[in-house]
Amino acid sequence: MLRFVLLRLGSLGLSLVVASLVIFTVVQVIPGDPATFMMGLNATPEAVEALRKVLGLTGSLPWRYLHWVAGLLAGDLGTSYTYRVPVAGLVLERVQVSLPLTAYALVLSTALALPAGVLAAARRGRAADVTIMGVTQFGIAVPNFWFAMLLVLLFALRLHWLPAGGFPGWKAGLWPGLRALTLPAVALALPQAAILARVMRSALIDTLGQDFIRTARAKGLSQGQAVRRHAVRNALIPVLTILGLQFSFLLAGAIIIENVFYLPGLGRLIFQGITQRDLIVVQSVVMLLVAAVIVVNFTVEVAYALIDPRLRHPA
Amino acid sequence: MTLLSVRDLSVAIHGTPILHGVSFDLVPGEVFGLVGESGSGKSMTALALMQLLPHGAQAGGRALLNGDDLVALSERRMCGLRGREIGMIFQEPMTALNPVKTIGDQVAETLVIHGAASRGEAARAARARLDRVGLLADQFPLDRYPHELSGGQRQRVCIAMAVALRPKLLIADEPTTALDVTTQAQILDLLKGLVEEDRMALMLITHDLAVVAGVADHVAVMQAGRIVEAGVTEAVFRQRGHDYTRKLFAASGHVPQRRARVKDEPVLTVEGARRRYPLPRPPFSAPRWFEAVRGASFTLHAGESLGLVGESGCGKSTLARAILGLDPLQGGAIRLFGTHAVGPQMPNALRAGLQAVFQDPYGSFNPRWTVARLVAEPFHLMPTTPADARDRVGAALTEVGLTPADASRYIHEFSGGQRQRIAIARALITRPDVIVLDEAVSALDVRVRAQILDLLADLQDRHGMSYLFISHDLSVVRAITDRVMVMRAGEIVEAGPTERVLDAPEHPYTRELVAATPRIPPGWMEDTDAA
Repeated sequence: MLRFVLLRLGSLGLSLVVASLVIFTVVQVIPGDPATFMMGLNATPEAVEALRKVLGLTGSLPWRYLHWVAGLLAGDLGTSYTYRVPVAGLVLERVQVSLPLTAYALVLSTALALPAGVLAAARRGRAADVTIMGVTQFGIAVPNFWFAMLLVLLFALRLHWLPAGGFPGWKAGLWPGLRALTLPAVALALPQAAILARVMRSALIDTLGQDFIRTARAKGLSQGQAVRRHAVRNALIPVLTILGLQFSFLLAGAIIIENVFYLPGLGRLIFQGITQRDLIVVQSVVMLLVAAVIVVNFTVEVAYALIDPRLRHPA
Repeated sequence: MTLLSVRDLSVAIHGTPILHGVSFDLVPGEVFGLVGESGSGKSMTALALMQLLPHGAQAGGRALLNGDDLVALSERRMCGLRGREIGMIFQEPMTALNPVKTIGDQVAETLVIHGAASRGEAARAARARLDRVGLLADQFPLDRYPHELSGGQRQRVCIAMAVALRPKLLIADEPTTALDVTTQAQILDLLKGLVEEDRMALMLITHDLAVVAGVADHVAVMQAGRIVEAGVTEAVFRQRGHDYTRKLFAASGHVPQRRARVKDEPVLTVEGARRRYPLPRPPFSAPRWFEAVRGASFTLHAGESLGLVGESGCGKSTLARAILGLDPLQGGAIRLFGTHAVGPQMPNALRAGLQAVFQDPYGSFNPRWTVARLVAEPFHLMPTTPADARDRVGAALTEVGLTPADASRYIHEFSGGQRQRIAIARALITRPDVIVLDEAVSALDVRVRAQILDLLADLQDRHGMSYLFISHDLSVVRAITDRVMVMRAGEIVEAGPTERVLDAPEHPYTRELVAATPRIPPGWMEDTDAA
């Protein structure tokens, strides 16, 4: 197991290096000079050149790459062209919103989806299954921003239970922060939960058809015991795969929900960075997100190996 | 004293009757064999006794075990009985165990679930049971996982699990069908030992008459959901009172009429063939290899039928793939009709002279193609598709006992035996000189198998082609081959005329193989009736 983790860590490091190379190349090589863009059409070449120097856009490509990576490792993500502040600070601010929001949404969706999926599989074809399948179909079909608006209408405007938007910051305390994130988290969680519940159900139904479930029943386990003791753990592999994908998606993909609730999240930061050609922001945030995805994948693979002993021996 | 008394057991699935009035008795300390072909209702009988029938199935009749009617008992009571009073093991040991739990946990669970022991006691009892089934502590600690064990070892774990609480009745559904003969002999010995030790009753379900002959005290023959004949094993085997029993026996020992005309003219020569696979390895370490075939040499002559036997994993199918040009060799040479022919670059003209029939009559056809297209497929090996392709497909189908009209049908419309006929028709279509038959009759019921063997013998008589007949089943090889080679761990350890090798084996491994093969005592079969 230790060997497995070390090997996976090695491939994680390798992936990060490759990813940083690709991101750097794509961002640096694509046409469009940020310095020219920022100085406007009437700038003198000298002024543009000076700005390029300030922005770290001079020097050979390998040197710039190493400079960037060294900065990343030291926590220096460069300076935003448009905000004129260190990118690290910007990102940190946004991560404080996006990461808790993602975790909140995932916890909600897992807590809803896994029991629902298990129940639907165990009661396959009966009322509970039909109901859960109907609800999840609806959950997948409804766009989450529309759902978010309904949530705001009901819980914020009519019942006044939760704020309609904005984020007070964690300095205001844990409780106000959580309150502000609850509606967005619910809006994000429900469609994800619908997908996850369906994956859980079909994985469990597959597992319940396996020979070892019959063996367990022949030992004297009831159907429920066979599900709990033997089937669920075997059905978790596809569920984990989907969970990993959902985490990566939610981290930066929550931009619409962030807009609906006026949340200063990573999604909005990267969107602004792209529209304003703030390449340093884009490059750094994309690198950060890719790193997050790679780390999540690593975690998922370690979790696979914990669940299934057959996966502990690296191929 | 009767332990289990089954009377008029019936099962219907969604209203379709599957079992009709099945009755039998089981006695403690005895083995009851239930034999029949696939679909005869053997497994359904067992599942009905366990109340583990598939959804939509409805059981009727009575099955009294210690005064409890297994057919009518509530699910809650059945959960108390399963594992405690009745243990069951199944055919496929590779999938019968939960892959994510240790073998110790799985054996101990039988005790824990019935509240028979605390966790610590259960672990100790699991250890004792695993020791009893021959999985000793030094090699098989409780924290081993199923994937670290071979098929035979896994079946032992299943047995330990089933007998953990010393049930009065053990149901074994084809327990050795998926195992090699030497492993099969060990598992059967183990089961017999357990029956004697604990005075268990064993209900042994199998399609193999020879297995029953060696193990069962009583036997019942099932056909189409009915027991057609039952009694003391030797008496049933000697008398063969029912017509179906006679047919079953005739088919299981069937030897097709062959007029071997072997010419001294080599068609296929294999010289020192070596085939190895890379094993998975950690990065930056030296490559490791699995030597599947280590220097096999033989010659197949025109008109000859050459057997290749060995246990699973011995390399026989790997060698077949190399001969068929599906895989490259890492050493040695293969000559087909005198031409050097190795690996995937084998020219089409050569391939046309070499066709194959595989084991699985279900998996070896594209289900979306018509039979005409399936059978005509090898024509692409020829420079041009013959003008009379349609007629040739019809003729090939006629030759294997089907009709030209079958050409427009799809593969799912045929039975397993018919599909294997279609596979043979496909192999025949290019008029090959060599056909490789890789376990071609292993998945078939005995009566169908006998027909296919007759067909193969007949085709060889008519066309004089050569067969390379790969099988794990010595009785089939004895019936259809002139010479046989015995393969073990990638090497051919013995070769010679079939009768000589199987009747007077020289190599210790061949001897072991022959001794482990279950056989009906020759005396029981003497009074051959003219059925």
